[in-house]
Amino acid sequence: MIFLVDCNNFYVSCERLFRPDLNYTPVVVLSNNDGCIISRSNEAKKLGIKMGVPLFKVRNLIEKNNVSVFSSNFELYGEISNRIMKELSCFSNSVEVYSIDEAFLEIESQNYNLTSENIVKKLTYTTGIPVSVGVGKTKTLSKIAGSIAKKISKNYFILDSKIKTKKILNETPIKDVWGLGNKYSKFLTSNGIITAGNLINTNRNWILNKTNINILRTREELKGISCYRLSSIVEPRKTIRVSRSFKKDIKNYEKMEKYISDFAFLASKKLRNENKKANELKIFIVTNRFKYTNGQNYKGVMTHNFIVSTDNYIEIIRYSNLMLTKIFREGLNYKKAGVILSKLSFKDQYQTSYLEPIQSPEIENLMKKIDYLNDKFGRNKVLFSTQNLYDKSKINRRNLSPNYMNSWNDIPNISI
Amino acid sequence: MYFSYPIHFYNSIASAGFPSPSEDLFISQLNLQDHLIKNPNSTICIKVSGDSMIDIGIFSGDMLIVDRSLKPKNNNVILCVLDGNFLVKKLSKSKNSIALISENKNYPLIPINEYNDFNIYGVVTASIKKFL
Repeated sequence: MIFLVDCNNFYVSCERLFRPDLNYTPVVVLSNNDGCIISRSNEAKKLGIKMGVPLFKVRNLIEKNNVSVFSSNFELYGEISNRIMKELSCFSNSVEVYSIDEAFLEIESQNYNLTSENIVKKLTYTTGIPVSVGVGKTKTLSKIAGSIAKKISKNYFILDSKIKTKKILNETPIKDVWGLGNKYSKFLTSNGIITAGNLINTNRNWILNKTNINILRTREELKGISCYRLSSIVEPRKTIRVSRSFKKDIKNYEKMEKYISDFAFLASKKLRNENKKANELKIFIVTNRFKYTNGQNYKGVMTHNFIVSTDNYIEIIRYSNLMLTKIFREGLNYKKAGVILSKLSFKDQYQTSYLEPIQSPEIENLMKKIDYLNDKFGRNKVLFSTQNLYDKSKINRRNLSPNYMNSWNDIPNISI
Repeated sequence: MYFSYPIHFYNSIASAGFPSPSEDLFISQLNLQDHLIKNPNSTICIKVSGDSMIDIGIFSGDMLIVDRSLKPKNNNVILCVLDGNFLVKKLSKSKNSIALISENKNYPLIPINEYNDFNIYGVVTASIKKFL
């Protein structure tokens, strides 16, 4: 059977882990840049705060009800998520990490009730994050079971018997079925296919004619025939990309150079964290297509191939800036820019060349020291002079919680 | 938290002299991480302030290692949550009562009753005090 393990109100639960005083009060977590509400405690849901609503729209409600508001602390959520996924791998050899707070597991067991109960209990106990478990013959069915599990107190639900499954599917609206997408669920509803049960009874040729193969797959999955296998092997990353849309358009070259340096730095950092070297470096800048300047739309792209793959900050930043001088055009409003590293290889498997010497140990040493200092003292203490990460502080993270698990300076201080 | 497991292999290079007798052994360094943390997935570190536990050797500024996965036993030092606040105390469990004991005679025993919102967060497994 397929188990879907889903963390309840994950971001809020992470924030509460180190703030037990918030256990029974309404709490919300905001998206990047403090824009929208992306996680709500049950108390906040009861106040009528909807998922994804912009903060300013519910500001009154929040102030009136003393709702605690947090900026998203992805370092913390990532660490907790890693721990949860590691714990889950005790229950099964095939675990597919589906998102930061969800995983599919394949488990064969004599007693599914007992296994589910064990998972719920063990995870809540060891990690402190409440989870719910949905069990079904296929991924799609386990998703439906999971959404029921969230609503009941034992926090797990198993779709095993045929009669039970049939009844539940007849009560499940088509828009709540996993994998259909907004467009097709609307289309199906307007054609009288309102519940999951309706979809099962729909003619297969009609589905193929009117929609696509994925809808047919979903129908099979609802019938208990597995079409989507667990993909427990994570495909190794082939490219590393850092790009942003700017809040305000950028006109000025110096400013753009700072951003490109930042992106190159962050991309290199990701590369080094994965113990890889890159052979190809690409940068791009794009103008704001809603604001024509001098009547033109422009997209500048340029690629550089290193003779020997590299993970050297200095080299990557230097070539990024060099390419920027070639593609930057004055007088335009740039909306977006990015740096992409590709043709990645592992550190010890890269191709050398006799045209260019191998990276000297001194440089490698310097890179390691930079990483060491930045890891030890937190976000980007050592920067290159063309960089601009101070600007980062302008990203709104006004209600950021401490980095309780990943920084010595931030571990909880408890008065005993 | 970053958990690393450095293992050092002794790699010999062919040379004419007498080989070291320890060459066939894997030599691993002492690893404090392994020594102090048995269950990395369920372990957190905290810092404490206050003098209520000095008789057992926990002083202000010490760092404690807390394992959530262990079952708390009588007389364990625990990190718990009492009515929304973190506390570090010694657990005193008998058949039908639970109490929290401070390791400093100036602090009274805290009995736990059913009106308290009480749960045990984890068992304190070690205290780390740095002198430098």
